[in-house]
Amino acid sequence: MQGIDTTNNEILLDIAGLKKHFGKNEVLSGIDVQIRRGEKIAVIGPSGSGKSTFLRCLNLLEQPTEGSIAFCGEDIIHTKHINEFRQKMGMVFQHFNLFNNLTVLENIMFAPVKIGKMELKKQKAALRRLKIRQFFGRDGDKKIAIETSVAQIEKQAKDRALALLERIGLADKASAYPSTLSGGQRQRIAIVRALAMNPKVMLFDEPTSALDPEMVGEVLQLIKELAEEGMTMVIVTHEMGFAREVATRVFFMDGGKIQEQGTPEKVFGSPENPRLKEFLSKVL
Amino acid sequence: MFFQQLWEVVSTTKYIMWILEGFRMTLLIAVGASVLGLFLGTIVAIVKIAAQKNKRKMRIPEFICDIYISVIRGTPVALQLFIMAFAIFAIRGFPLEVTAILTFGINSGAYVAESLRGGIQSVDIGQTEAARSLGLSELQSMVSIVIPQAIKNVIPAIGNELIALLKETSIVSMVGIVDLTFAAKMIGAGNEMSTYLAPMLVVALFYLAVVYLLIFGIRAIEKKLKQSEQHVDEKKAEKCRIKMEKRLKAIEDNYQKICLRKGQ
Ligand SMILES: Nc1ncnc2c1ncn2[C@@H]1O[C@H](COP(=O)(O)OP(=O)(O)OP(=O)(O)O)[C@@H](O)[C@H]1O
Ligand SMILES: [Mg+2]
Repeated sequence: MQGIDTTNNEILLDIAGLKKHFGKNEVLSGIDVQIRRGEKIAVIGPSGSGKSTFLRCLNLLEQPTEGSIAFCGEDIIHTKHINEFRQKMGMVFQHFNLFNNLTVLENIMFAPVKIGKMELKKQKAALRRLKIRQFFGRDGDKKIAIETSVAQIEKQAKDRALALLERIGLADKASAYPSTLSGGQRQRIAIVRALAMNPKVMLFDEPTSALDPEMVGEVLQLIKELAEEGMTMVIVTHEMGFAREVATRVFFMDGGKIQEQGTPEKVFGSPENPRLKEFLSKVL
Repeated sequence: MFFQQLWEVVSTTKYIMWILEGFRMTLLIAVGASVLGLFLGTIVAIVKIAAQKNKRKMRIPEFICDIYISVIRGTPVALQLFIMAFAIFAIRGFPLEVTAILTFGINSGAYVAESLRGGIQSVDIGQTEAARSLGLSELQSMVSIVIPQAIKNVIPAIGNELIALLKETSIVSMVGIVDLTFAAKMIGAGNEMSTYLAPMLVVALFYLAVVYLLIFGIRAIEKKLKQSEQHVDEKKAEKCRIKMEKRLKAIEDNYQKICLRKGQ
């Protein structure tokens, strides 16, 4: 994995001067970092160092107090279209967060169908407006072609969801509810639920921390496959072996800052920061 | 003697008519107030939840809701009924039963609001975060993910509220509405049967019957909701399995036939 050269790829996430306070508690105290397409970033660090907060700021689940975040060159902190940006950033949570009131299949189809329908509605509204304008003799022969329908959106979403389930070998669970599944199954479904939106980057917050040991492997395997397919990802993890194997770059966070970063060889092999050394001596 | 009295209550056409009339009134007020209460309660709960997320814009609506909830929950419902009937709606010709529906609807709205708010808040925040992280709006996550789960959580509490409401409506007899309780009082009066026990017992059975019906309904709904989440659709799964087995068998048969033919 480390052989892939991403230095010339476009910058997907450009983070500058990122700070986050919870009341008076400064959890992130100035983070400047750029993440390029194809990179696999592992974020490590002691508990409470702000790893989750950093990750959650990237898709604005937490509103940053200061600083800027650009996604594909566009400011996402002050935009009104955060939902559209979020569609392109998949997130996987420690506790899976599958929708309890929906079946596995519905979980995966939910966002694509909702958002597809919303876009269809917008197109139809635009078409109506255009027709009204044309009725008054404006905009001559401009045309808006609506190529999909609700049924088609649903069918596409379903086909894709089934294909994704097939891929993780859980097609037979399509009509099951999340509460009937094991942790490993749930997390893999949560991952493909995010994939169903075709995200440009995947954010993982300790995806295996809530799993029984025997299920960690299957989830890491899936993440590894995604990495090999070229998905850009940011993974907060305590699985050092995994970070070493999959990451192209490792961030070590402590006290709300990225104290050291570099290739896994460098961070794990010849750490410089004393706190990183101490951290590694504890976890390795 | 006592059984004779009971018999007299249920066999006298006049008395039975009074009871049925009263029963109709009780049901009318209870159902009307439930609908109004659920409606008001939902709105107030949504305002209060929205206020938590958007403190500045929602300050005034939240303030109004807070006053509403604390005043309603802090004063006796009989007093509320008197104020409505003898002060606010003391207009000649204004139907008393409408006053009663408004009073009990507004009253139960406050309780429903609190249960609903609790139900919405008891849904794991992770559910909303997951929906938002997929790019869905606040409203979409609320409507499609959070509220369906909240409803499941609050059905027992709302059910209890409806049961309490039904029984509380009996105080409308205090402002002269002829409901089930009032009918019993009329039948027991001196110039009628001049005994209260028998008519009151008959009427009690009516209340009990409705309450049991409600409990039964609530249980059924709860059970249905629980099943839908905890089990794979067993019937569907079984059908699927049988179909697959048949198909496999057909393929196998075919294969064997082909093998046989080849062998020949
Ligand atoms: N919503 C919140 N409100 C107030 N404080 C918070 C909130 N979320 C996090 N914090 C605080 O921010 C600090 C960093 O938390 P964060 O979850 O980012 O750490 P972490 O590095 O992910 O830790 P862990 O490895 O335990 O997950 C902690 O001290 C925590 O108490
Ligand atoms: Mg964390």
